[in-house]
Amino acid sequence: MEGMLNRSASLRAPTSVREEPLNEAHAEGGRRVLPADLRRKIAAIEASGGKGAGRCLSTGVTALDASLPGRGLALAAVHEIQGSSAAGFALHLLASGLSNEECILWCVPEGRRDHLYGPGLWQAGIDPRRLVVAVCRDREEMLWTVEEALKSGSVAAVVAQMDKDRSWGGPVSGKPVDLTASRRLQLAAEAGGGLGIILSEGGGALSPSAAATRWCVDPAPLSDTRDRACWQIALLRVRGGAVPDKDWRVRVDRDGRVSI
Amino acid sequence: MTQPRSLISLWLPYLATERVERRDPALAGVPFATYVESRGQMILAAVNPCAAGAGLTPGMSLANARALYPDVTLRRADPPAERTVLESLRDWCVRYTPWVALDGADGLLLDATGCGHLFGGDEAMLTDLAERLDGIGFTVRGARAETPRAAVALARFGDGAAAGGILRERLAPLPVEALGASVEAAAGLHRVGLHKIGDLYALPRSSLATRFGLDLVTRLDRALGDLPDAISPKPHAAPYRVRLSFPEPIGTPEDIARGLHRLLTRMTARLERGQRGCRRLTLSIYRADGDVRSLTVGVARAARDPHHLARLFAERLASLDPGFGIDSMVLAAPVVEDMKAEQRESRLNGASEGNGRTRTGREGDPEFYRLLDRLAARLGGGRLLRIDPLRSHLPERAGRFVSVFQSTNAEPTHAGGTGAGGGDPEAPPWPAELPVRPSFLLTMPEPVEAEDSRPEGEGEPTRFSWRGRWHEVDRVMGPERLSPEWWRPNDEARLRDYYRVESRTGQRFWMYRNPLQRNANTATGDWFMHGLFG
Repeated sequence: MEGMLNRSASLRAPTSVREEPLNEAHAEGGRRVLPADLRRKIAAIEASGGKGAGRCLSTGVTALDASLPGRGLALAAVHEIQGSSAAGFALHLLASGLSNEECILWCVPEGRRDHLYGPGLWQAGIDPRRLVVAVCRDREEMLWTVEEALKSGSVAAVVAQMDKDRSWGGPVSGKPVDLTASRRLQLAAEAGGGLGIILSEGGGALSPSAAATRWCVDPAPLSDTRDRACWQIALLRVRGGAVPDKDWRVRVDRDGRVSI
Repeated sequence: MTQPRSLISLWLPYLATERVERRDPALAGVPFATYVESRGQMILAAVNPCAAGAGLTPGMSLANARALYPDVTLRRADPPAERTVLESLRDWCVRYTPWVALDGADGLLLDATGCGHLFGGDEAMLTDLAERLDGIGFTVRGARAETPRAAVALARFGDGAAAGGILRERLAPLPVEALGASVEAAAGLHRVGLHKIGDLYALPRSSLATRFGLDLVTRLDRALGDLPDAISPKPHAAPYRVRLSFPEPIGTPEDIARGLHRLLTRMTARLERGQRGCRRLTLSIYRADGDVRSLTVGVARAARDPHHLARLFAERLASLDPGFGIDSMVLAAPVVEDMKAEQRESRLNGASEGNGRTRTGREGDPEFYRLLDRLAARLGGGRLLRIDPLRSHLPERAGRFVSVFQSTNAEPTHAGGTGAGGGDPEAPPWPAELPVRPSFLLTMPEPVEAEDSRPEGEGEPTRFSWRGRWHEVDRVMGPERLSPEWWRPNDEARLRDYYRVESRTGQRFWMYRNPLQRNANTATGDWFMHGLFG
C-alpha cells in the first residue's frame, strides 16, 4: 500500500487520471480500505507539490468549511458558482478569505449591463483599489485572460463572470465552461497557486468539470431588513470529498457577521 | 591660469508683445499691450514700443490706458505661452554654448566661456546672437561680463556701449536696482543717498549687511566676482531611441524577434543607466520598399525588464508585415519615467514560507503589473479598469471606472475629480456612514414598469416589470433621498428617492424614482432600476 502511494506521488499524474490509483487499490488488494481515508491520503500527497496546493481559505461559515475536504476553499484550484447570487457570494468569499492587500482580477464580458460598484464593494469588505476589472470581447478571450492571470500567480484571485446577464429565474441564457476549458484553468491555478472562481449566473446546464467545488447560490428573503445579504447555498460537487445532502441558509448582517 | 569667465545676458524687453506680434504682424506698428487681472483690477502686463511711446506703462490700469490712448489694442497676457517661447529660445541658444539658463521671465543667461572664438570672439558672438534674434522678431539687449550677475545688470540697466574694461568700473555707474535686490533694499539705499553701484564699493560690507540685508551684499559680491555664482542650465536630454541596421534586408519572424531582442537589450541598459523606466515603446521597421510600419506597446507601470517588454511585443509581432524585407529597425521610448533600481525578488521567499499561505498577488507586486501589461497587450489598455474612488452623491459618479493605465494606486488623485477621495491612500474612499449600497450597478438606469399600491401613484410598488419579466414585490425598504450636485456645471440629474426592493424570490434591487415630478400622461416610467444586491 505504502509503495503504491509513493508511486502515484512520483508520477504526479495530470488531473484527468488522478482518481485511477484509487480504483486500482480497490480492485487489486481487495482489502477493506475506507475510500474516504484513502482519498485524504492521496489529497495529502497531491498537496505536497505545487504552489499553494493543499492550503485553504475559510469561507467565513463554519458549517460550509466543515463539509469541504481541507476545512475551507482549496487554493490553487478553480471553483464554480452558479445561481443568480453567485457574484454576491463570490464577493463574500473574497472579502472573508483574502487579506486586504491581495489583488483581485475580475473578468466580465463586454456588453454586460451590471458592473461592480465601488461603494458597494467597500461595504462588502473589499477595497476596490485592489481590484482590476478586465473587459473581455468574447468567451475565448475571457478564458485566455483567466488562464494567463492564474498561471502568473501574481493575483490572489481571478473571478470570471462568464455570462452576459444573470438568470432571473427565466430561460437559460448561459453556456457552461466545458471540461477541457475547466481543466486548463485548473492546471493554471495549480501552477500559479491562486484562487479561480467561475461564475455561471446564467443558469446554464451542468457540465462535467475539473473544478474543485461547485456551488449553487440563490437569493433568499432577508430575515432582518438591516442585513446585508441572505443566500440559499447548496454544494453540488466536491472533489476529494463527499457532497453534503443539505442546503444552508446563510445570512450576512450589517456588520458583516455571518450566521446560519 | 584659468581663463576668465565670459557670461552673456540676453534681455528680451518686449517678449510678451512680440510673441503675439510674430503671429499677427499688423500689431507691430500700432500701440499694443497685454493685460492681466490683478486684485480684481485689470492692469497692463506688457506694452510694445509703440504703446510705450504713447505713454502707456506696465502696471497701469486698463481704464487709464484707454483714457490715455483710446485706440490701443489689448490682448489678455498668457504667461505659460511666454515661458514656452523663452524655453524654445533657450534650446535654440544651445547652438552657441551648452550652458544656457533662463533668467527670470524675459531673459536668458549663456555661459560662453571658451566658446567665443568659434564665432570670431565674444563680441562677435553677441552681435551674431542679437542679429539672429532680431531676424526672427525679438528685440534683444545683450551684455557680456565676467560674472552672471554683472552681465544681467549690464544688459538690463547699462547703455550697451561700453563693452570692454574693468568690471568694477563698468558696474559703477549703474543704479543700485541693477543688483536685483529687494525693492525695500533699493529704496533704503536711495534714502541715504546711495544711488549707484559704485557708491557701495567704498562702504564696509558688514554695515551694508546690517542695514540693508545680507542679500544685497551677496549680490554685490557675486556681481564683482568675489563670491562664486553658477548658472543652472537645463540638462541635456537625449531621446531614448536605439537603431539597428542590417547589411541585407531581413524578413523572417525569427530575425525580427532577434533584432527586437537586441534593441531591447540596448534600450533597457540605457534606461537602467539613467534610472528610468519606459511607459510606452514604439518599434518602427523601415522596409526595403520605403514603407515604415510601427507597433506600440504600453505598460501600466514604468518598466525596463527586457524579457517582460519582449513578451508584450511577442503577442503582436506577427502583425508587423515585413514586405520584401526590413532595412533597419528603430526602437523608441517616447514616454519615460523615473524608476529606481529594484531588488530582484528571491524565488525562495514564497516557497520557504511555512505558516500561512503563499504571499501572492500583493498590491505593489511588480509581477502584478507585468500581468496587467500582458493582458493589455491582447485586450487593450482601455479594457483593464480600476474603480476610481471618487466621493460623489450621485451613485453613477461615485463608481466610475478608469483605465489602470491612467490611475495608479500610488497616486489616487485624479484630474477632473473633486479630489475629495484622493490625496491620502490610507483614507477610506467612501464615507463609512453611507447607507447600504448594492455591489452591482447598472451602466444606465433602466426604466421599470411598476404597479403602485395606491392608484394615484404615490405609494410603493407591488409588482414591477423589468427587462420583460414581472417581479412580485415582497418588501420595500427606503427611501433614501439623493440630491443632484447643483454645483457642477451642466448637471442634468434630478432629485432621486432610492428604495431597496425585495422580490418574493429574495432578489434585491436598488430602484429609484424622481419625486415631485409626476407625469400625468405616463402612468409608468416613474421608476428606474439602478442596482443589484448580490
